Order: sequence, then structure tokens, then C-alpha cells
Amino acid sequence: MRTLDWLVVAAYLIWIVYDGLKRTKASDKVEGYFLANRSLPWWAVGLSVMATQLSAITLVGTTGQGYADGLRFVQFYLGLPLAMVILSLTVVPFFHRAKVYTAYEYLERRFDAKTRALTSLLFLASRGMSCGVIVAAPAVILSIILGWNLTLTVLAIGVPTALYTMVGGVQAVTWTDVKQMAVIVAGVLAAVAVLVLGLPDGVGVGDALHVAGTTGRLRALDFSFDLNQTYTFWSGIIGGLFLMLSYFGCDQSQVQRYLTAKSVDEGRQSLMMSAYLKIPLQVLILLTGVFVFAFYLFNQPPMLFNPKHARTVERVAGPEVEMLQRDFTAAFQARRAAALALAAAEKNGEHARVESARRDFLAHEAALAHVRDRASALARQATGEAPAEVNYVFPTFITTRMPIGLVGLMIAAIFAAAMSSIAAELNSLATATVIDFYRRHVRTVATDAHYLRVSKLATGFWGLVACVVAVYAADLGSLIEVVNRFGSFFYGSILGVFILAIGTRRATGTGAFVGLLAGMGAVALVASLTSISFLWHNVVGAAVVVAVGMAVSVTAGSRRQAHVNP
Amino acid sequence: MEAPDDTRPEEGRARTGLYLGALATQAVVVALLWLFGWYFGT
Repeated sequence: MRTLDWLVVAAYLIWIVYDGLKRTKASDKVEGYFLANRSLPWWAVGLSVMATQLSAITLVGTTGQGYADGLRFVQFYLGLPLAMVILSLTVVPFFHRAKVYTAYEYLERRFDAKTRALTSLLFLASRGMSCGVIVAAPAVILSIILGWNLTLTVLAIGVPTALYTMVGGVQAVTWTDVKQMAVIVAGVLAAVAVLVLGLPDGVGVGDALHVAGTTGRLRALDFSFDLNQTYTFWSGIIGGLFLMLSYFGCDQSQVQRYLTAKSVDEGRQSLMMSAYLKIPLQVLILLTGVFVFAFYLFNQPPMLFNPKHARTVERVAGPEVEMLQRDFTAAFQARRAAALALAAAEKNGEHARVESARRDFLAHEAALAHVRDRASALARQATGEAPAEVNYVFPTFITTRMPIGLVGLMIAAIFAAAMSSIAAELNSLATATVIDFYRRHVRTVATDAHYLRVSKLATGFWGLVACVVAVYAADLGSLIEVVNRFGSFFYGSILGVFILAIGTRRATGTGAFVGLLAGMGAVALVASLTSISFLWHNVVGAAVVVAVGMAVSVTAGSRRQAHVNP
Repeated sequence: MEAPDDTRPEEGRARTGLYLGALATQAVVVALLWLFGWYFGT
């Protein structure tokens, strides 16, 4: 990074922190601090909803996925629009009119205190950990790519975010989210422009896409019904629907966004913004990854994108790596020539030549992948770590190929993606801690000023937890997976509890509580005994909770009835 | 729980339009993705 890039990143950080800190006026009461006095416009809330969902893991990992696998991952989001419609019709009016601070507070009104406590506790446990992972993931990548100190990188992301969230509350979170979305979109569009301009003379965007399409990267939809496949049209539409219903309808980090809206209708419109824009935005991010692939068809990529692994491999297996590097360069040159020939044949409409050029290109692509696999195997042997190359593709492109100034903008965009998600999570963790536990169980009567002080302390506490978890998560690669799996165990189950709460009259608190435990147990069993993809776990969890919850409620109800009328 | 009371009919119609519009947009996006894959992938 050069001076101008540093200045861009510094300017971004100062701008965002200043903007967050000045939002204290309307945050001097608990309702203002957590819900902005329910006064925010739909478009700001809608952008905040999108910014919260789009973390740095999404920005960096998804472009890497686009590079390696193409557009397939977009299927993950196919259930989102329908989920938003269902939520707009159900939980948005319920939560708004119930005047709750947290989604779990509503469960106590409908069921009992234990169901509220358990669901809120599950949220705190999973989000507390995932907040650390959201800080850790970009910090690890940026520290490796840019040679920064890891702990300092964690602090550079975590401390400013915790600071403005602590001082400005949800107003700060929402209005900084709006600006961070603008930075992210500007960064991605700048990257696309650089990628397109980096194509060789005579190769247009359409030609490059045709060549990339030959590898199957532009086939976004897979209509096969295979429960073991993670991303198919059906897993996205059905499993994704349940996941999105749970994430946007039962996860406080999202529920709190639309509780800040001026009215029920503005809350609905804020969610509908995602229904319209989320999939196109995700396609843009994945397509950026495909463009990175196309760019590296004509410009030589590094053999290993993870520079730390590349250095270790070079140190441990020098001569072998030199030989591999020679093979890699030769394989790249051959693939480049084949890609140019294919692009020319496509451009000139020489149908007879296109087929043979395609076969030739695919053979060279496979040869290059084979050399890269050998390098990855060496890296795994030398470092004892999984290479996780996809996470380093986009950052490597940014730092080595983007022009001065735009590197700073892209690093700022990665910071923005991380900070917008972390801020919303810290804010919602503090809300659940204070409203569901402190004010409910620890100190039930106190002044508003007291609760406000405790709320700010709770935000700071969770910021500290996120930074500490991030430093440790960075060393324990598998922890990230554990956290993700932990979340998927109860996401669908919590959704089941809300279905019982809103969709049925006969469900009881005990039924919902027992159903929730049964749902989590069922998902744990399915996850450990079968290879069914995790998107379907949400369906299993929700279905078991509803079935067991209703069975327990009805059985207990008829027993009570029998007791009253023997 | 009681279902939330609804607002005026014209607001209800606007909301229905918003929801149907989102689902229709998704259908168009899915169709475009399929066409995109077909055009560039074959």
C-alpha cells in the first residue's frame, strides 16, 4: 500500500467514526439508544439490513467463490424474496405493534419467561462468538496480504466500531451502515472497471465471459434435487427460505434494524428493499469473481494466492517449488494462448473452430489446475494448514493489480463490510443482554439513565469479547467452522418457536420449550449421522419444533382438561 | 395472538403490488440467470 492508499483508508475511518459519534443527541434514552425512537426512514433501515448481512467474509469469500466456482452460490439466496414477503406479512406488524425491543421479548408475552430466556441466550452465545469471527476473518486475510500485525488489524477493525456503536447506539449503526454500503458498492464497481480494462486488446467483455463460461462458471442454476448438494435451486428456494425466515425474522441483529423504522409500513418496505436488491447485488459480487478469473486467463496469477503459504513452501521445498513454478508458467502460457484462440473463434463466429478451441482450452485449464493442486498439496504439507486459496484471490488482485488510490478504496470497502456487520451485532447483543436479562432478571426497577449507562457498558463489553475471540479465532482455524455449525444447529429451531408463537393458538410455553430442545437435538443428529446439506437443517429444525411443540401442547392441554373435568 | 389490524384498502393494494413485484422481479432474475448461463456457457 502506498501513501495515497493509506490516506484513503484513514479518511474512511475518520469519516465513519466521526459520523457515528455525532449521533448522540437522539440516543440519550434507552428507546433512542436501541430503537432510535422508532423514527428512521425505510431506505436507511433497508440499507442497514443489507449492510448487516454483507460482512467482509461475504465480500472477500464470495468473490473468491465466484473465481473458483462461478455463479452457483447465488442459489443460496433464492429463498430470500419470498422470506421477506412472509416476514412483512407476519412478524413485522406483530413486533411493531407489540412495541418490543427484542424478538425474544415477544416470546415471553406469548409463552413464558423460560422460552424467552433460552432463545435470547442462544442468540447471545452464537452472535457473541460469530462477532469475533466476523472481525477475525478479514483481519487474518489483510494481515497476511499486507504484512500487518494481526492483533493491530483486529483492533483497527474492532475498536472504532465498538467506539461509535457504544456512543451513538442504533442511530450510529444505521447511518454509518448507509455510508458503508455506498463505499462497498463503489469499491466493487471500481474493481469491475479495473478488471474489464485489464483484458487484452481485442478481447471484449462478451468474449471473456464466453471463455469463462466454457468452464461452467456462468451456469448459476442447478435444478437437480440432491439433498447432499449444498447449492441447488431447490435447497436455495426451500432450505434458503427457512434460513432467511429465521435470520431476518428471529435474529435480533436483523429484527432490531426494522424495529427502528417509523411505522409498520416503513419496516416492511425496508425488508422489501432486500427482496428486490439482494440477489442482483450478490450476482454482481459473484460476477466480480468471475471477472477476476477471466482477468487471470490473460494475466499471470501467482501459483499460490496465499502469500504466507507461498513463502513457507519456498523456504521448505525450494528446488521443488522452482520446478513447479516453471511448470506453472508454461501451463499458464499455453492456457492463455488457448483462451485467446477460443475468444477469437467466438468473436469471428467460426462455429467449426469453436468446438475444437473449447476442448483445447479445457485441456489446458485442467493442466494448469493440476500444477496448482500440486502446489496446494506442498503448502498443506509444509504448513499443516488447509490452503483456503479462495479467500486470498480477491485481496491479492486488489493489492497487486489495482491502481494507486483504488487499493485504498477497496481496503476501505473490506473494512466497511466488516464494520457494518459488527456494529449491528454489538448493538443487538447489548439490547438482548440489557432488555432480556439485566432489566428482566437482575434489576427490574431503575431509572432510564441507569439502563442507558448499562447499555453502553454492555456494548463495550461485547466489543471487547469480539476482539478477544477474534485474536484466538485467528489461531484456531477450525473454530470458525465450529461457530458456523453451532449457529446452524438452532437457527431453524428458533424459527419453529416463532411459527408456534405467531401461527398457532394452541401452542403453550412448555410445548415451545420442549419443541425447541427436540429441534436442536434432531438437527444435531441429522448433522452427525447424515451428509444432508446444512441448508436443509433449517427445515428439519423448524419442522421438528412445530411437530413436537404442538404434540406436547395438545397432550398437556387435554391432560389439564381431564384434570379439571374428570 | 390477534392478527394485526389492517390499514386502508388502497394501502393494502400498494403493499400487495410491492410483494408481487418482488416475486416477479425474482422470477425475471432467475430467468435471466438461466439465459446468461445458456448463452455464455454453451
